[in-house]
Amino acid sequence: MTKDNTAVNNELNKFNSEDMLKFIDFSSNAAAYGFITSHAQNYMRNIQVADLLNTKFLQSGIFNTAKSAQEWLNNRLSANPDSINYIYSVLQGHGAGEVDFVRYINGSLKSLLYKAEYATNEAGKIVSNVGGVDLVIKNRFTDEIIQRVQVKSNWTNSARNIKNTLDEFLKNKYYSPDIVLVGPQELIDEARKRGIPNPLRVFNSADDNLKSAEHLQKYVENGKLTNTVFSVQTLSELGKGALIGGAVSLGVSAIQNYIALKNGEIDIDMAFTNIAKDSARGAVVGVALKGVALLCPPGLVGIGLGIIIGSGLRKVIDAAFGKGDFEELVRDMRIDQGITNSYTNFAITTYNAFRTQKQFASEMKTHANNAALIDQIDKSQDIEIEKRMKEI
Amino acid sequence: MDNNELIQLIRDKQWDDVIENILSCDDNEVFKFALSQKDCPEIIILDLWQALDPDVRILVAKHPNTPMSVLKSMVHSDNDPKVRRIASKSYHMRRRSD
Repeated sequence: MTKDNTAVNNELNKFNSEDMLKFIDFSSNAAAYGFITSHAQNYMRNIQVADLLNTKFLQSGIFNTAKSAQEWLNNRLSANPDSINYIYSVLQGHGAGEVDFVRYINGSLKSLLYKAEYATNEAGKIVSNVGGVDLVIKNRFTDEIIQRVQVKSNWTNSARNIKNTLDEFLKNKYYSPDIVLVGPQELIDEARKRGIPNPLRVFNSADDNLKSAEHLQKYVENGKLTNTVFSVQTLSELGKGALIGGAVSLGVSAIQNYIALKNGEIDIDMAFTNIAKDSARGAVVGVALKGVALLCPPGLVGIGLGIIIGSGLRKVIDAAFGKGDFEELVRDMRIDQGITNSYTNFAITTYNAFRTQKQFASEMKTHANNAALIDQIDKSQDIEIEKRMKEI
Repeated sequence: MDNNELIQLIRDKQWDDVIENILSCDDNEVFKFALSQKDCPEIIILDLWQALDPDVRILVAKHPNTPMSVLKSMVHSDNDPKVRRIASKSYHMRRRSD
């Protein structure tokens, strides 16, 4: 057992069943919250990527719908499997790299004063070939441009690739030493080594960018890269966190945070946020809930979100409580309606919000279809009227 | 790269560079100029066959390098009857000559 786990074990020896139930109650709520929000955030981020790509490559129609993007990618890969690098340059280079940095700036504390926006051309349009700059950072109150930013999203860290990227940046006819160069660690390290005068900023690593590009490629391949927020598909995806196929994993850090909270070392917000973050990272999507139901309070299982007790946490709990005792404890929770109330309230709120939105979106879709039908009939009638007018 | 540079690359038949940059220009006139070249590579056609401008799609439908699978998709799903008709004509002529 590691030093950390021994400390947890010692603390757990002081726990009684009531403490353990409170821990499960608190951390499961935090974990569920973390899973749902991270799932929603990730989905929204993909929509933003699709939207930016559709704006930049509007005339090609490629990112107009999820289906057109899917056809483009599949056609290109079957014509030339080496196209993958070009596809990554579109999805990651023109899309995700910039979206993630904008989200990072606008989601940070700095966003109280500043905001990041995509650079536009003279006509005020976001295009992919704005001279030397991808983004601008503005003063939120005066709209004054504080920094101009070029984002590089290399997904390989080969010396040649890094060198070429820096050469391109420096040789760009719009190059200026005041443009902030943002890029993966490997690129910025090399830029520092070469003594490039521009302000430099590390954002992600080449490996992070590769993972993001691969994730987006799969998304496009599966026909899921939609650029509209208000679609039934979007709402289904956002609601998935609370509906089906999700399970969050509680690790040792969950109980460490809970113990820290119990001992007054951190406050409740900090404990909740830490557990939410860690659990979202360990989220298991699409897991068979049947297998984990034993370890889940029924409130959450009822809506399909399972809580998995990670093997690391299980070991320290077993060591403190005796093997099998913890399982008994959780099994008892299944008949304890009081403990499930908080889960249920949380779950019902999320579920109802989702259902209402979904119903609304379905109705809007029906109205849109009806409108299209009426429009079609109108057009036919116009043609008919025109024909008759000519006859007269 | 601006549109004039891209048009020069098309004139010079620097197709590898054109392939890398044509989508970024997002300009129908550049698309049409590329598609009006007989040796316009298939990969560019795969980037442009879903273009919003029907005139661009008509050039795709008429182009000898357009893959049969693309012509078939255009015949079935293009929302412009003129594009569908031209794609259908190309498709059947190509099948006959094959």
